[in-house]
This record gives sequence, structure tokens and C-alpha cells, in this order.
Amino acid sequence: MTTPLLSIVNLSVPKKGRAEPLLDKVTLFVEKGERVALVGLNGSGKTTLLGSIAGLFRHEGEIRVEGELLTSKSAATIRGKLGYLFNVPEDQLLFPRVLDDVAYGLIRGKVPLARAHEKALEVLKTLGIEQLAHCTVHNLSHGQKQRVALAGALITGAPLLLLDEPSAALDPVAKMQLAKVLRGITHAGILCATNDLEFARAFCHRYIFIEAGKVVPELVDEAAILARWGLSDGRSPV
Amino acid sequence: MEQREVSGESRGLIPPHLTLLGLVCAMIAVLVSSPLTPTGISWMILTVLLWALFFGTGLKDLLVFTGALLLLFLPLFLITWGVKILSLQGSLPERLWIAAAVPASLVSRGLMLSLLTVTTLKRLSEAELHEGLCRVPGPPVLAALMTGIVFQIRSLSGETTRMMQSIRVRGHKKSAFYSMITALPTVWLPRVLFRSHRLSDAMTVRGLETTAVPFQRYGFSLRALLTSALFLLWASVSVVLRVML
Repeated sequence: MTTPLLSIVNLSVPKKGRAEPLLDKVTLFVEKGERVALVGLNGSGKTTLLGSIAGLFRHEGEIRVEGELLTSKSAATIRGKLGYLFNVPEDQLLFPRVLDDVAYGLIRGKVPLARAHEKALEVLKTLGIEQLAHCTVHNLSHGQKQRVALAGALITGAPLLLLDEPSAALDPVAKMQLAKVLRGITHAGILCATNDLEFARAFCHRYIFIEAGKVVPELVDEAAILARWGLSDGRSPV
Repeated sequence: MEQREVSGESRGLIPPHLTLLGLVCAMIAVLVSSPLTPTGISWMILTVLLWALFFGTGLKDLLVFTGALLLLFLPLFLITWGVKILSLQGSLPERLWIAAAVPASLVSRGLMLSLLTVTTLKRLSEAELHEGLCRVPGPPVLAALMTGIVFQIRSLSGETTRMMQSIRVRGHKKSAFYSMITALPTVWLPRVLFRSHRLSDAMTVRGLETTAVPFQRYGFSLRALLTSALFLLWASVSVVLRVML
């Protein structure tokens, strides 16, 4: 049996001053090359789950990436295996110029600057935003920032991509273009937090449904999820 | 067509790193000049005017900056002046005059240095500043740190602008500025704190806290050398003037 790319067993994230945890005994697996949509409504624990994998929250239970257990000591190594897209892209853009920001992941890995910039241009081209390479980050629109941040996450060729609401604020065309790009990623596993089922359907192999910090294992298809949300018959749930 | 907002040398008269060298030289000129002598204050004003002219800063902009900075420095001047008056002995007019020397010196230098900085930063985009800092010989981590500070200040000012717009749109009756001030502890501060937290997470995930980023170095051209010499000459003349007069 091969080791899963991402293995989470009984993961709980407590919340200060509250009895009910942010995540409660979550167990899930993502295989190499698999694209998984982590679907849930706002506040269901999607962002906390992704943050936990990156070691941003104190947790109980077991998180393994490529078999390596996440601990305070191994956190830096594990982060090196991740491409992470935050839900507010502006927060993760740390350099003024698009090209420098995208190339940073490689520069950190001691790739020569010229090569890193070349590769950054390639990734920007893949995402259809190579014309932004020399732009100042602050002057970009939200959607453009989103794609620049994604380029920064993709550039290192990390084996596991954690995407937090990547389709948020994208126009329908950009959303489907992004789904196409993500479909083309075969080297990495993707765990994508979203509540946009149309987007998820366009590139994911399967769904994991999360609600109130718990994974609901029986909800694995779109119809069941919509029914859970009270949207299955097209009527308003309220 | 390639969208290119940052063009370094092609955009201005000199590349960004020389702009920064020029700024340092102009600052030296202001710092060594005595604001309490006619020659000193004239030299300071001339330095600032030439610097503003060099960057094509309009007179209106310069006056607005000066007004805003005077407002900023006024409390400092008044407090320092008041404290000094109380600590001196003699007749009141004499004390008023003598006590004004130190705060006037502080404020005039502060004002001139701020004007130099503002006119420079108004011209340089963040990316140019970044490039400029990276091209100045020195530890790359220092360049990364300074750029980071300016970059985050810009983000914060964007956040503040959006907040003010939101206050305006949502129909706050007072002026946007007043509303912003009153909203500082309840709206702005929590936003900034949450943003800092998210930023810190992003820096952790992207590994920024442990890495000094290497940047490309460029050789000096003849034009660059001549411009540098001009800046250094200006700073040197300022020192000579201070010593001679």
C-alpha cells in the first residue's frame, strides 16, 4: 500500500474559551495527483483545516504529508512541501513587484535569480497573466492578486497544494480558466477549500464535506451536499 | 502589449539606487546646515527646492506637503518651546527668543528631511524603491526589511483608504477624517491586528522569517558615477559651508 500524500487522522483544533473545538476529530486522506474539494459553508472549519496542515494552529491528532508527521520541529520541512493560497491573497504577497513575489519560492530554495525569474514568467504565462510581471502588486485588482498569489504557490512544484477559496472574487471566465489550470496540474495533490460547487465540479475528483468542524463522510456527491444545504430543488433554503 | 509600470532607468533621469544615494546626500546637506543662520537655512531650502525640482514636484504639491508637515510638527515645536521657556531664567521676551532656538532647529530639520523623503517616495514606486535598495551595496536582508516596511505601510494606507471610503458610503455624518479618527480603536485597530496576524501566517508559510533574499547586483555606468559624484559634491559643499561660515 502506498503512503497517502496527505493523511489526517483524528485532527482536533481547540478554541480558546469555548467547549466546542474549531475542528473535531477530522480524518481525511488525499492521494498523489488527486484533486479534492473541501466543501463547506462559511465558518465550517475549512480555513482552520488548511492552516492546521501548514502548522499554523495548535492541534491534537495526526497530520502527515508524504508520510512525515507534522510537529513543531518538522513544520518548516512540511511547509516546504506545500503550495498555499490564502483566502485573502493580498496578505501573502510580500514583495512589491509581481515577478519578485512569484519567484520568491525558488529564490528561497537557492535557485539562481535569473532562472527563478524565468520560471516565474513561465508560471505567470500559464495563468495568463504574464503581462503583470513588472507591475506593482498594490495596483492589481483582487482577481489579479489572486492569480499572482496562486502563481507563487505553484512555482515551487510543491507536491501538495492547499487552496483556500481560490475562485472567490473571480469572474466566471477567470474562474473556469483557473479550473482548467488546476486540472492540468498532475504532479501535485490539491486540497481546495471552497463552497463554489460549480468551480469544484470543474476540476476536482471528489468532495469532502465539512460542517461545524466535522467531516460528514456520507456526503460525497454534489446532490447530497445541495440537499444538506436545502438547495436541491432550486428553492431557497429559508 | 506588456503592461509595465516599473521601468527603473527608463522612467526617470537616474536609476532608483542613485535616487536613494541622492536622498542620503540631500539629507546630509540638510543635517549639517545650521537652521539658525541665514546661510544655513537658505542652503537647506535650496537643497529641498532643487531636489523637488529634480523630481518635477509641482509647487502646489510642495506647498501641500509643507502645510501638512507643519501641522504635524507644530505640537512638537510648541511642547519643546514651552518646556524650554519654563526652564530658562530672565525676561520673558528674552526667554521666548532663546527658547525658540532648539525647537526651531529641530522642526526645520525635521520638516526639510520629511519634504525630501516625501518628494522622493512620491516619485519612486515600491518596486523601484525595492530595486534601488537592492542595488545599494549592503546586506540583502536590510533591503528586504526596508522594502517590507514601506510595502506594508502602503498596504495599511490602502486599508485605511478603503475604511474611509466605506465610512463615507455608509453615510457617516461627520467628515471622513473625523470619522476615521473616532473609528481608530474600534474599526481600524482590529483590522490592522487581524491583518498582521494573517500576514504573519503567510510569512511563516512562505518561509520569509528565516531567509535573506539574494538579489541581483548591477555594475555602475559612467552616467551613474557622474550623478553619484554630483550628489556627493553637494553633500561635501554643505559640510564645507558649515565649517567655513
